[in-house]
Amino acid sequence: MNENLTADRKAANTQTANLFDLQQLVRRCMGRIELAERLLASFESRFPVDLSKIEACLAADDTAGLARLVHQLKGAAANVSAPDLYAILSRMELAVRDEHCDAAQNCLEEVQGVWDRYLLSKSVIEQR
Amino acid sequence: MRVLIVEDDCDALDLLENAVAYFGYDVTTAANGADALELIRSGQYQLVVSDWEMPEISGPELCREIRRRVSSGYTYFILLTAKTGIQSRVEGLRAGADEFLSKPVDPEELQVRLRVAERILALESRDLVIFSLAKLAEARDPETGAHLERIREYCRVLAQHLVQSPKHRHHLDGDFVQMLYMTSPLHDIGKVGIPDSVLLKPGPLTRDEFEIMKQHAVIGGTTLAAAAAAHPSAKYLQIARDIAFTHHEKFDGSGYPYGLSGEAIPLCGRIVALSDVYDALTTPRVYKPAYSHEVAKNIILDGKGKHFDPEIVEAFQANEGRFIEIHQQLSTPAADLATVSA
Repeated sequence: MNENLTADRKAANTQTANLFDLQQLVRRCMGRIELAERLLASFESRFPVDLSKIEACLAADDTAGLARLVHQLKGAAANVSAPDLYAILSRMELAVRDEHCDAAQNCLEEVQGVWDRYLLSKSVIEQR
Repeated sequence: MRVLIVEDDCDALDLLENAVAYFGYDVTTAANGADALELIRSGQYQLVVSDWEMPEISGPELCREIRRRVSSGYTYFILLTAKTGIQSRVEGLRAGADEFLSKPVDPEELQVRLRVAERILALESRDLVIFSLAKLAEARDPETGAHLERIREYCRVLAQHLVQSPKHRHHLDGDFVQMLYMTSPLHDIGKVGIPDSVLLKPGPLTRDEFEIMKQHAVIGGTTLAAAAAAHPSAKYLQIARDIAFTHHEKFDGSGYPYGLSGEAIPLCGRIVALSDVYDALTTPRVYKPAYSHEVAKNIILDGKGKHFDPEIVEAFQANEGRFIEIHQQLSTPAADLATVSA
């Protein structure tokens, strides 16, 4: 059990830098930890809500709404220094712009997977 | 310095506000373009950092609106964008943006861009201070109307012509034209040191009075030379100094205060000399009416190689039309009424 947990942590640690770059976030907050914490809390509360809205727009074929939401969420991921989420949302934004619905749908599934890993990496960091 | 940040995303706004304040700026925030326009109307903000994508009024639209408005000072506009294409940059520049910053904003780059903005805005302040100083000196000699405004325009026309000539193409550039435009209004700043009894005398000056009047070139030149010596890297002060000292020198060496001749007279002084005389001839003074362009032109042509540098007279001849236009645009009605034709 302990071995499994250690392995999980190791795996999470190696991927953490791309999922969430705490050092960069603190640097962009000019060293203000409380601001970094506030931004992360805001991001983590909005992300699932915005993701649901994105799913709804995709289902309703609402391209304009979808483009706006994906763009906003991409910006939010950039703000908290979450490079993987930012990268996939950037791809998704392009797919939406070019009206490639299948590609956008694939990106959405990827976003969901990366979001789960992001939460895991955050929990590992918080346990340290 | 005050900075207005316009951003509809609260978290992005928090990040920006924190960084800009950290760099020592006085920050105000607006969550949308409409609020930003209201704040800008107060005239307190010369530096705006705005997001591109915002509901109702986008960043480029906000910038266009600022540029459409008549304002006493320039507003430096930095557009934040996650867009990477050339087309987007072109759109932003067409809207009037001065600078772009890619999102997510890097604090170090943000700081550098803000410093650039400050430098650009400081240049505008410098120009205004120089012109205000010149106007202050001119205020003691009220008969000359928009003399300074015309002088700098005439100088610019002549300098632009010379910059393109084969003789000067390799050592003069747009900077010279701009510095001459900026500093030529200071040519008579030494008149602040001339007593009213001489400066404002309605009739002809006696020999002694003329000697006193001639001192204005030395007073102005010496003042500006002290400033130039204190700030050796400020090339515009050197040009201002040269203009003040030499705008009454004559090409044949018969001018004052030093009797310099030919190319010993700095080019800026030779350019201002012709511009100043043209303006004096074509505007009314207490001792003479305004002469027509044709009369003034003949006097200047007659002075070619004597009073004036032949090359600059040729530049004047090549740009006569522009001199006439400037005179018409910047003349007072009284000057027109009093014009004497050939």
